Amino acid sequence: MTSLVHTDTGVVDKIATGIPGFDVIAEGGLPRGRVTLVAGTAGSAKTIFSAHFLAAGISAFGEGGVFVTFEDDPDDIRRNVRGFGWDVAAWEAAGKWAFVDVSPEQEGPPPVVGQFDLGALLARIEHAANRVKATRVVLDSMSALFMTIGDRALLRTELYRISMALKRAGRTVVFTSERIDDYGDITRFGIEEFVADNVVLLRNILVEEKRRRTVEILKFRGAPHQRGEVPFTITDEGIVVIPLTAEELTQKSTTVRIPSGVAELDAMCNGGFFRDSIVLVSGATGTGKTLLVTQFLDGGFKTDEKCLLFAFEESRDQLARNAQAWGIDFARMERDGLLRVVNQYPHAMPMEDHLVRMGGIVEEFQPMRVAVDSLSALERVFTLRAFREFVITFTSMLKRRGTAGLFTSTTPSLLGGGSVTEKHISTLTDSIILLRYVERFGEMLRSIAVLKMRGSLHDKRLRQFTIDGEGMHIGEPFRDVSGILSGVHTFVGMEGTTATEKSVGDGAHDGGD
Amino acid sequence: MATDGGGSVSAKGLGILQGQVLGVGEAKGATTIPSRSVSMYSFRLFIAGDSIRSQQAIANLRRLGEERLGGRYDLVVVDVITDPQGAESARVLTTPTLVKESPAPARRVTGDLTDAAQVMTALGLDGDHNYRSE
Repeated sequence: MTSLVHTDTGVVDKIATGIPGFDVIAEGGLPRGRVTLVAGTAGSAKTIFSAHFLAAGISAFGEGGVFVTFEDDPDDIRRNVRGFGWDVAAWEAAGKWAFVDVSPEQEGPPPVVGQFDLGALLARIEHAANRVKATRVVLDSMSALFMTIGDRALLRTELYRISMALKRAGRTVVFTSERIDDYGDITRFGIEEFVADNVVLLRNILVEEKRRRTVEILKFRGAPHQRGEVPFTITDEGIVVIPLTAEELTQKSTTVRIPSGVAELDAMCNGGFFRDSIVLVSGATGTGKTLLVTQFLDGGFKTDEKCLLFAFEESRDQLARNAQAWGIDFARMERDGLLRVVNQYPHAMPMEDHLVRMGGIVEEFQPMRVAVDSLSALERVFTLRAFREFVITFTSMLKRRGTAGLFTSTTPSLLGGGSVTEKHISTLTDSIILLRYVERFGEMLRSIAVLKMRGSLHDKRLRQFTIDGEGMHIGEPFRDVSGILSGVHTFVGMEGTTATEKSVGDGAHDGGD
Repeated sequence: MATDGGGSVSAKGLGILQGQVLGVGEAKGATTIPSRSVSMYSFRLFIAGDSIRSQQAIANLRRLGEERLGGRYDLVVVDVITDPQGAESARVLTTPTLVKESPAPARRVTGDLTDAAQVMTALGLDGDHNYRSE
């Protein structure tokens, strides 16, 4: 997941688009004074991308923009982007935005007698661009122009002429084109990519019956950029690209420890969790995952740290009642401004939207600790790939902020076993804590183990724990049990048990994972 | 292309330019063709600069006007390089573009008007047989 960067870095100046996340994958933005083709199938958000490029230019950088529309009526565009908070009419009045309206007319294109060119179009675009001092010009979409004018050779020449004129004037140009197929030819006639310096692809594809939007920078002539498809979503503020970078690899990690909320667990971890670490807690239902989350939040509260809980499985009331039973007062923590509980229904949104929303809440609330209970709820509604991307992106976001994270994962079987969740994200988390049931002489006991803790010594023994009105109490290690993690455990040394640890382990291959 | 020309002209605005008879190129002067009798036809021809294509379109239109419309026409030539707002207002995309403004309904044809018969058809003037001037 590392970002692949061209090493032959040219001296191409970039213009920040202002589209969130896009400038990250574009390593600064679109090459300035160049022509970029944005191609995508119908409904891939080409027009929104174009409008966002102009809108961000105006609102973030005060740069004028021209929207040449070959397809939609300007009125429709004004109305359609109003929901993103872009008041195009006001920008037009302020001399910041200009339309060149080339949308189809009712009577259709005029009949042709003899030779012609697109001189009028070029004159109109330049006129509008001069009027608003445009640094950004978008043409949306070429495909509609191609419907109007059938002469491909002429289009190729004229498109080139228009591009050159705009480039000479130092303007950065985006023009869109409709593709037939998300993974086919870049454009239908191959004309646009001949003219463009850069090619960006927008996709809107079905993966496992779920819609997935991605953006891919196919080429930036002479300029670095990230490769591959990157998801994006459309929010009420326009396009948000979600760069999936493995930032944790370059993170500087801290040696500062924070209390987990359970003193004995701190001892097992050689002094608590690391300040900026992500901990995965795995266990079957009822093993005490939510308790550990609750104590983790309480640990933050006791050290005056803001805590944020994303609860995907239980309601706020239920969580508060649980906490109360363990002597922890959520209401008070919330009153003190140290706790926020966000209830979300995982079904409601695609992965990208969850990320954007959760990221927004994190940015706004600025917590020192974030818990997610549980990741498995998300895993059930995302595709595997989306789920992994979600975890990567969310954990790197937390790490970048130096926020401690505690995520839970529900194992499918009551005894032993791992979950799909763990299989796919265990390498992404710094620490893994296992909560497991142990049946002993007809009694169900709970066990806890620190399976992994990056950068620290830790207790490698499996310990028994109990839960009472004050929460979790971790006790002595199990010394006479083997194979708990496999789900087929044996009491070593008991009557009739001749199995060694090794053979027990071998016999447990069908134990759960 | 005269990219620099557009900016200075744009300041003049629509009000001044619209309806004004425009020169083509530097030396041509006004190009309204004076009608020999009452004009029956009004044309507006959009061209892009003083190119060969522009000159051909004007020449072809004049010939058509004389030979097929008995010279009873008005012509306003709009150079989109010096009057881009004129092109914007009329929503012209291609040059040359000829607009027949009257008699109604308005009709358009684009190209350098090489074939007079096709132009007549495109403008809906097939039925007009003013071949000879009076």
